[in-house]
Amino acid sequence: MSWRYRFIFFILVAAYGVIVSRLFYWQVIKAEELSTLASSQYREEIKLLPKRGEVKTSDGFPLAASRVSYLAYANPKLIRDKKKIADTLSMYLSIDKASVSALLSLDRFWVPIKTTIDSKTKDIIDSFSLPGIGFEEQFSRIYPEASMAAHLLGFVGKDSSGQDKGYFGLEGYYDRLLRGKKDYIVEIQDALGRPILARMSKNLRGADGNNLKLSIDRSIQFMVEKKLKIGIEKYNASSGMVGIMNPKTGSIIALVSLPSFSPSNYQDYEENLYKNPFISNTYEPGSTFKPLVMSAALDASLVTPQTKCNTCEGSVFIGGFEIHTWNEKYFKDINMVDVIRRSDNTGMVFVAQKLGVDRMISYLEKFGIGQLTDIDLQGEVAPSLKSKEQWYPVDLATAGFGQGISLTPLELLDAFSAIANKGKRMRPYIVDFIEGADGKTVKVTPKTLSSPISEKTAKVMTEILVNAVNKGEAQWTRLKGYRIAGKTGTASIPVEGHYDPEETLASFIGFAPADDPKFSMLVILDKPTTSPYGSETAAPIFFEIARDILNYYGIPPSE
Amino acid sequence: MKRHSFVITFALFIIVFLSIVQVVVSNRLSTDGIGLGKIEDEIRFYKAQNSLLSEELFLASSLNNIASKATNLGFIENKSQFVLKTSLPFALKP
Repeated sequence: MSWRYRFIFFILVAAYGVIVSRLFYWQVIKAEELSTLASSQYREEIKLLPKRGEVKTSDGFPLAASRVSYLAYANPKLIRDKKKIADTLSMYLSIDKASVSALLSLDRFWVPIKTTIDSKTKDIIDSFSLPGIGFEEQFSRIYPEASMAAHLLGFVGKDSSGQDKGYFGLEGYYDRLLRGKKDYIVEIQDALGRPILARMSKNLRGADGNNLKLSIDRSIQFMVEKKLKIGIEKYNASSGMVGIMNPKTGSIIALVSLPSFSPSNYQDYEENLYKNPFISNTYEPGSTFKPLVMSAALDASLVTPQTKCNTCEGSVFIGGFEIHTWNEKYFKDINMVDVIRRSDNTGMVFVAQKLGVDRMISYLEKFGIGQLTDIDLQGEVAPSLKSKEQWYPVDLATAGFGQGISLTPLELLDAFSAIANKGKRMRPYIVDFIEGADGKTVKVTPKTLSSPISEKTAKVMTEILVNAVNKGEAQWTRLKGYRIAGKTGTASIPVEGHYDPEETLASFIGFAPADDPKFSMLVILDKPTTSPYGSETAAPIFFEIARDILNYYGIPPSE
Repeated sequence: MKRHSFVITFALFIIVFLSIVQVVVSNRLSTDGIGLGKIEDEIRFYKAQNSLLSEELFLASSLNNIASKATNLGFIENKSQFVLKTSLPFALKP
């Protein structure tokens, strides 16, 4: 072989070696970097923003919905005339000029300027084609009924990473269902940044959040908020709440607590207003608790409606404490029907002592006292019942008339509703349907939690409660023509080891119509000053609301 | 020999034909991207408009708004109710 052939062969081998080594460099050593560079040139990741689900009332009207809004951001490194841009932005975004200038002076590539900008403002700013200023689409919450049912809804705030998160109420309880699933699509683009149809990647569906359809009746909720507000002002109470449920299913028809807050401007309110006191605050229920104790004694056949109290001729002394009636009136041999009608504390001490600690605890547990009702709202509490060893004779006596025992208004309403539902206690719930982003709907089925009393006992207790409404302290305000079962309550408020001598918690609990209940309702006024009694404050509100609901449901008077 | 040249010619024809098809399809796809972009812009626009209109509709049909308008128009709450107590309050036959 001549040297020429060898030379050519050597050149070819060398060239081959150079090519191989260069390919090795590109495909192995620099592979990742080049791949990323290429990707950035032809593909763009587009975030799929999940739309937070709507919260609708039973008529399908959204109490909370999502709207498209924009986040304005800046890349200060691309902005030369910062003063001019700061002037424009401050004028249209209603931010002071100094704040915008400070943001534009930052040594960053991305600075958020303002969130929840509406599309009109965005279009105006867009028309100026400001260099280094951009917009990012986002969703923000709107509340078409303003602060209606705010305690039920809760609100949407931010978590530690700046992402939307629901707090309190339904927004908190159903946050994962409502928020939807974050995802992105990859779009392949040509050299000019235009999308190429053939290479559009998968378009994910079902990323939006689920909608919640509530059992809340918007008209009743609106009416109750109005009536309660008027009631609080009229009786000069510090706060008030009303809960209405369907005793046959446990579905909540309306739930109102005042004072309230606006979910869209929750930051402007004190944090203690965020909690829903109907499920998060405990109180001593007073006389509204008596129907539970009486029905327990009736169910255990320890008393009958005609049983006479042989210890009711005067105040009762137990464990060094003297127990009085609310009006210092005593009735010798008063029967059980009148014990409830007159709301006689000594009569209820007689009943509680007949029950004894074991049966009292057993029946209270069956009524769900001391247990969470498992309502689908964030923030429910339930203080446990004392153990048997911690019950002193005076505790048993005072529990008979609803003092010395703490529960939430919801616990009481749920337990009381068992009397209206033939002795069956239902799980209270707010969400009736869950509507998936794929259009599938799941119905929430009512659930029986326990059967604390028999149907027969429930019927007897209902008659005792109808009698209490027709002939008791609140008869002046009752709805004539309707059979309504109910009980007043005027509870003392415990303060640092004793009861406040002046302030009370006035309440009324009941259901209607008594023979085929469509709703049960609890009205509570905290510290009314025009009168301390439930019969003169909470009862009129109860009957005002009951009248409107009966009209709304088209239920005529039966008598 | 004749058969071989036919196969080669046919193969070349197929190659040229498929190349032309690829060019045409690629060309169409690249321009369809512009159309796609426009469609996506339109979808975004209509979605935003839909969202705005829904918001206006919700606000207009909220009970708060209706109640305040009713009050301004002079409507008041009717506290009396009229109930027909008997099942047949009118004559069955004239």
